[in-house]
Amino acid sequence: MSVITVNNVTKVYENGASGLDKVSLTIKPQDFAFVVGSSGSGKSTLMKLMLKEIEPTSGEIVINNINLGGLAHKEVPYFRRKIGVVFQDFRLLPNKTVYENVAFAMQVVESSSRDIRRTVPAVLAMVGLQRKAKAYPNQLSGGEQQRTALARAIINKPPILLADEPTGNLDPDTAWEIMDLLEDINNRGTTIVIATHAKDIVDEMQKRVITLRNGVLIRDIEKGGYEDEV
Amino acid sequence: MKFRTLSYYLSEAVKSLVRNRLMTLASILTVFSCIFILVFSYSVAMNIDHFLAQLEDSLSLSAFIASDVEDSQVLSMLHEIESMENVAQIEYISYDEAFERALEMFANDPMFTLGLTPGIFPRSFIITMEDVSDYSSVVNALQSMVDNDRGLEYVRYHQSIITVISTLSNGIRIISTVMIIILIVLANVIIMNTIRLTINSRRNEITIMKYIGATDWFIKWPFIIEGMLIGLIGAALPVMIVWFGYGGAAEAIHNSFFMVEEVLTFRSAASIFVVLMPLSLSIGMGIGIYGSIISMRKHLQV
Repeated sequence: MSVITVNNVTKVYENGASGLDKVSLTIKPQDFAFVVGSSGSGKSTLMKLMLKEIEPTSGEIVINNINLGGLAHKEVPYFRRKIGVVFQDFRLLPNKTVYENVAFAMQVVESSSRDIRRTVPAVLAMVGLQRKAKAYPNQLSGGEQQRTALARAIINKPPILLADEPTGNLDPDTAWEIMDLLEDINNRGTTIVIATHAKDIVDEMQKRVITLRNGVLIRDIEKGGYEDEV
Repeated sequence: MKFRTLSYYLSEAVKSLVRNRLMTLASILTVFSCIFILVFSYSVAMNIDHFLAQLEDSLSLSAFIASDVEDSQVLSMLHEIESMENVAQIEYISYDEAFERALEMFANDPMFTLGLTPGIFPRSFIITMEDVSDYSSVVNALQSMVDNDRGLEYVRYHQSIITVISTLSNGIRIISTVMIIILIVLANVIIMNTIRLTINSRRNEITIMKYIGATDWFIKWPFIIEGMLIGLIGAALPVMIVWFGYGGAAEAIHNSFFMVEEVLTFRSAASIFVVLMPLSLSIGMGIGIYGSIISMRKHLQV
């Protein structure tokens, strides 16, 4: 049983640029997969397609047994609540504290105040930010900001977490802290898909690696490292 | 919608209002101006209508009977005039009664009536109309009787007062309507800009909200409530000002003008504001909500 199925998906943008070219892949529950490739290889396109941010030109994507092609506009928010997202630039809300940024994800799904008060501190503790609850993003380091973003991404217990270059703006030591956290989250049952350039991390972690080049899937191995050339 | 979600929308709306306070103030002042004119002109129009209704009882036409008309003809003339359209009531003033009225009028200056006898003052009909603003039909009919020597000598009526009041009322209504329309358009433009600023300042937040799984309405409601609050505050202020100032203004006018003091009374504030308050608040909120919706359509893609 797969949690993500990408079936012969092609994406051609309006300007004629090719995003993906007949890509097919399957990600199983609790997989930890890296999507690697150079800039323009199609990593971001794949992420956007999985988030239903853009539509494929052809092919279909099924996530959590939901065919994204048949998803009505008003159903998209409910679909996205099952997917946690982390970005390279953190995308925290600058006018909200760490606590408020994380709680925001629960407010959006109309969780009760009691649930929020109970859950947020627990998740902050999990990512090691319990002492930073009242800090604002501009008072945090890059690693702390990304941990806040991670906490926000997992607070609603999504089965899938997508991370687009999560360590792109971090120094190596901090990057490893984030990867350790992601591995921990994966061990708790969340399927993780990470788009990344970070060769060292991919090589070290020896997880599943999906390689894209010019929109084409050229390699998909269960355990391996980052290879620039095939 | 859960209460906690509503309180979230409200708090986000208030934060936006405070964050863009200059534009918020401009929006509120424009709505304020619009509703102030509405409240003022409505109060004036209602009172003018009230005055006209009161004047119907005191304003009347006097048609003076020619001296060569026999008493026996008077009754048929009375019936003829009574049957005219818009005539509510007709009263016959005989020679004796006319004399008595003159004595009463000049009771403080008996010199004016010294040596006078009944017969000096002509007989007359005093005619009260159903609709005082539509006096011309009755006047024309009576004037026709005068012109055709059908028993009337001349007709006297308070044309100037009726005309002035009717003209004033219509003039105020027209000018107020034009000004209100202009201000509604202006208020909408300013509110649209206020909401646009809010949308722009919250674009990052909106994008994140979409990724997290916020529904379209979760994103839109704070903007709608923001517009509604602008309209509500802008409308509530003039209503309160006019409500508290109404009594004093009515008393000042009452004491300043002889005719008003003697003949006319103002409508009570409660009778005017029972309609005006919900009307003004609804229009104010409507302006705010409409401005928000238009701005969201143009600048917010969810």
